[in-house]
Amino acid sequence: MSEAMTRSILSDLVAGAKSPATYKVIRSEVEGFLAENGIPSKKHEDWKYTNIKRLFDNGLHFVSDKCAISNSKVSGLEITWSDDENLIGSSGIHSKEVHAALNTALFGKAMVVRVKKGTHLEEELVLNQVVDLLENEFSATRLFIVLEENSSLKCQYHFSGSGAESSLLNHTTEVLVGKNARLELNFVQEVGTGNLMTTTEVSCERDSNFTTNCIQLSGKLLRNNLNIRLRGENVETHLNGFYMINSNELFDNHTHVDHLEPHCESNEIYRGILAGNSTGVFNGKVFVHRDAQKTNGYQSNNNILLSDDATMNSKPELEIYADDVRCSHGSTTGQLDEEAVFYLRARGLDEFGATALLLTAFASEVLNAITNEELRSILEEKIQAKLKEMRA
Amino acid sequence: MSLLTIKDLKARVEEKDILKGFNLTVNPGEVHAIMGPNGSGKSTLASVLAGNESYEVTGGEVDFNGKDLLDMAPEERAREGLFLAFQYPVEIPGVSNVNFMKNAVAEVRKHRGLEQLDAKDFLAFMREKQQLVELSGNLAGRSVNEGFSGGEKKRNEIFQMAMLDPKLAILDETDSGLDIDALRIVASGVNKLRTKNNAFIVITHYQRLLDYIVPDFVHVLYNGKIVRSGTKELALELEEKGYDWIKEELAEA
Amino acid sequence: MAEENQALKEFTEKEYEYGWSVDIETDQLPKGLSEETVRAISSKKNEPEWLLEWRLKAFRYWLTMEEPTWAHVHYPKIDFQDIIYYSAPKQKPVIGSLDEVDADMLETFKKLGISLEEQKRLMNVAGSNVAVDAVFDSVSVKTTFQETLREKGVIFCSFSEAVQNHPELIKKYLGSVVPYTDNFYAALNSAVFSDGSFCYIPKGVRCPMELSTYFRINAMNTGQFERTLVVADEDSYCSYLEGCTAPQRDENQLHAAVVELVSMKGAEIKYSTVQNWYPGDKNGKGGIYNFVTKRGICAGAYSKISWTQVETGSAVTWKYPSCILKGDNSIGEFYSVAVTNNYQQADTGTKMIHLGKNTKSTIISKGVSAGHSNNSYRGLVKIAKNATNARNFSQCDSLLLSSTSGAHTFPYIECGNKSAKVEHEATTSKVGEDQIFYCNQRGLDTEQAIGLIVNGYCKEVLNKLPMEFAVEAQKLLAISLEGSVG
Repeated sequence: MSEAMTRSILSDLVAGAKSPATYKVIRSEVEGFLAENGIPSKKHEDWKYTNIKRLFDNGLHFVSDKCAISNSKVSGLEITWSDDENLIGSSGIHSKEVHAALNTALFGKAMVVRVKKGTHLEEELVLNQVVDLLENEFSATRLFIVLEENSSLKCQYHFSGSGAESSLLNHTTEVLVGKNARLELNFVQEVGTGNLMTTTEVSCERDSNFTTNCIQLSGKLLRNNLNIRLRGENVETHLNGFYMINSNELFDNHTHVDHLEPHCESNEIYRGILAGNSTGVFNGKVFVHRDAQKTNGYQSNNNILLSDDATMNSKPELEIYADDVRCSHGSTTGQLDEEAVFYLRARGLDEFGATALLLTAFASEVLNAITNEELRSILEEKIQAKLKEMRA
Repeated sequence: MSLLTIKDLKARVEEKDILKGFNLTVNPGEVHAIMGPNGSGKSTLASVLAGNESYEVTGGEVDFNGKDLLDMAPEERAREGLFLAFQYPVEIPGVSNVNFMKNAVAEVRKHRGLEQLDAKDFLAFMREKQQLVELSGNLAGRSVNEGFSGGEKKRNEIFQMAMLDPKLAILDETDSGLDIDALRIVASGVNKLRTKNNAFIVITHYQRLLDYIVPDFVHVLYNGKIVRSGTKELALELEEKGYDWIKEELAEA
Repeated sequence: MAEENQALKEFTEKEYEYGWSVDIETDQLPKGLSEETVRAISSKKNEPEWLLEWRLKAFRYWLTMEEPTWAHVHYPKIDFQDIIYYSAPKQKPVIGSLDEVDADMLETFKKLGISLEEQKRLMNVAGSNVAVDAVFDSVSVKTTFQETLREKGVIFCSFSEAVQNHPELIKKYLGSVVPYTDNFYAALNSAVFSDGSFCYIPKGVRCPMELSTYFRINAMNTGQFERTLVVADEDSYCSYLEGCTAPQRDENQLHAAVVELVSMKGAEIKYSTVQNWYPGDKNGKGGIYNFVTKRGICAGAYSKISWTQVETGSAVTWKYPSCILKGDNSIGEFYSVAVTNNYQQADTGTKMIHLGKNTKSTIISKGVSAGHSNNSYRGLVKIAKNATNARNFSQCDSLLLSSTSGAHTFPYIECGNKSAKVEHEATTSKVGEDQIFYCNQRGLDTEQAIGLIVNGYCKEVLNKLPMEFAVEAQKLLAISLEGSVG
């Protein structure tokens, strides 16, 4: 993609953006990065199966006053709006990934959620974004979560609504988990026919614990980049995903766990059910640096295809440079166990009921990682509903 | 008589000097907390006292219950009554927790001239101690620490401590990475094991643990030596002001 | 990093306990191998013409073959002319009471720890019987309990005796599972095999006791070439134990045995081995070369063969007990613990060939390597085109006890039928100083710790051994691994 084209896309987009005069340094970094890399096409390894270029080629125009993030009230929790260059973008992810770069070029203000030192919040924070974008509309939103030393928080983030097929919501979340702090961050993505691209960039300090679950139920295109950097010893992280992809939908999950220090543990389970002519992409990378001795890294990706036309592209990657570690990864793609279906039918369940039961069990390993029972039940219902759709 | 007397202990690991003249006296019935920034020597202290041969003692003496501790092999120190709750408890696949404890308890009892427990009594003994840290029955049957979560591993350390009934227990960052519930269980287990005859050295990075395991003395370890001693108020001050405060005070002195 | 734990390194290596020999007058052929040697062996044993012919065919075939070199092991080339192919103690003991056995030999057996009196003890304590056929060098010396077995119709005797007394059985089954064309060492064995055990269980009989054989290689420069044949007729069962020891010698000794098992419809053979051949000294000098072909055929439907072995000795091991699952619904199992230390090398594994329908095989292999040794697992699971509904589960684990030892896994899965379910898992782990220190801190010394860890690791396999062997196996593991962590 030529520099001229990128500039033109950017200037079109920026023309709609209410970007403040501040943020100069980072914005110039971003412009450089985008000019060099452009909007990725299928020739880029990370975008091999996922075509977003079509959205840009169609022509997108930026709208700044839509898809605002709303939050529930939690006492003891500080929520502000900021564009402080020292905080937002401090992760540097904008100079590594395209959609983070785009987001950084365009978002207005970021929501900053801060849990102060030693604070343990029982009440769960619920964040909401309604995707109500129309034809060719492009929106960029930003969230920053900070957990100071010894604090803890549970948070739900819902993407709902339904965007136009040619629209795009680009969202970036940066997270800092401080020493001995704990965060559970659950995403639910249900955006109908809309397109959603997210980057979640997480940095964990020593002794902390970060768990994230991403349940993906609908969207024409969902692309999630999840990066977790384990910057201190004794960090434990669990990253799970469950996706249900129906005809004409494409869900793409790219995860990256960086083990930088010794004695950390990462546990990753991504599971999916694909029907119709859907496409799924999973690319999970676990990178163990030379000093990260005694790392425990587990990763698995399991997929059930309900139709002959569904496609799953799964690429689990392990790159290990330390020599005293325990890492494993596995990937399976297949059909439901026919014997198991028959067993249930022989006990009186009809075919749909039997299949639904088995598929729910398949989902449960991921769902069980969500500690909020109410959320779990709601999700179970949604999964049943989507299953009905997929089997129709 | 004191339980543990450490005089001018110096130790190094991988050619680097870590402990540079460490002094401490612990009497029966006491709980000593040791706090300090990363690299101050906390883990080195624990490893040296337990007898880990990766660490080289370059000077000083340690008297444990009237005997020269540094002269004993690690298993001897254990049998004499020194217990280390590891910061990173190791997994031993294939060796069940039951089998492991059976062997360890047998050694301790042999050393103390006590009669061995028969199978039935041993299991009852185990179940009793499991309850102290809410360790479920099936965890006990599994391999040592295999597949245990962080919290379960730490509870398992305290369970083992209860089984072996040591005179001196050293808890090495037992609280790091634990959530509140796990912390409460671990602390409660430790508190139930406190008697006027045993003692504890609690090494921690965070003050929070000391709300639950209240220490008699708090020492600040910095640069391989104890630079300040006080009571639990000192821990609160550290929490508030951070370790930089100590560094500054030392620089001024 | 600080120096490796001196205490561990300086552990005095326990002297190989069985490293002694007895001077008994032996009747030996001169060194070398030619057609004359084969004829001489056959004539010494008074064999019928058909058997001599079979040997000669094998010998001539062997001459056309080339020694295999594909295994992951290295050893100096064997000079086949520098070996004595027959060595029998001069005195032929009369089967009867123990008093008639040569005092020296009785002493040997006592030292072996399998003194025939001990069986009586076993009988009283455990309530079970073990019939022992002791092979001292190339001749089966004594077989006891023949009476009890005879009542049931069970034939358990030396191979040589079987040739004399049950030639029709030998003729029918010899070479039916391992033809002499099978491989280099099978051909050699077929030509010069001296003796071994023969066992036949008649229809419907459950053999009332464990059948056991001890092998011992005594004289210098002898190769040991046993031939064992076990046939279980329809619906029968037998459990066979094979244990071995060998003296300490500077020169290497060759051991090329062949074991054939035949399991008919509904029959089951359980074959257990605890092998403690001399592994060579600390520097890799001496030790046994163990090149064995063991194969069982599940000929009939619903038949079953299990191989269980604990191998701690021999300098170089090349051994793949296998099962041919011909009968429908037949089952093959392989449980193995292979320990290597110092400079030992092992390339072992198994082959499961699925031919019939609904066949099932299980492979559990545990390798423990210490010192500078190399331990390779080589397994083949082959599902033939018509072998519908075959099931296989394989688990190959390696445990490394030192940073200079090696563990390698070469699984071959050849699946020609789409209804098959084949699972393979391999893990490699290390016993580090961390684990040893953890155990030390709980009051266990290093030797106890290693014993605990290795036994825990091998539990799954050791549980498959008959009780009499299980205890010996555990002790053997501990002894083989002294001073090995680091």
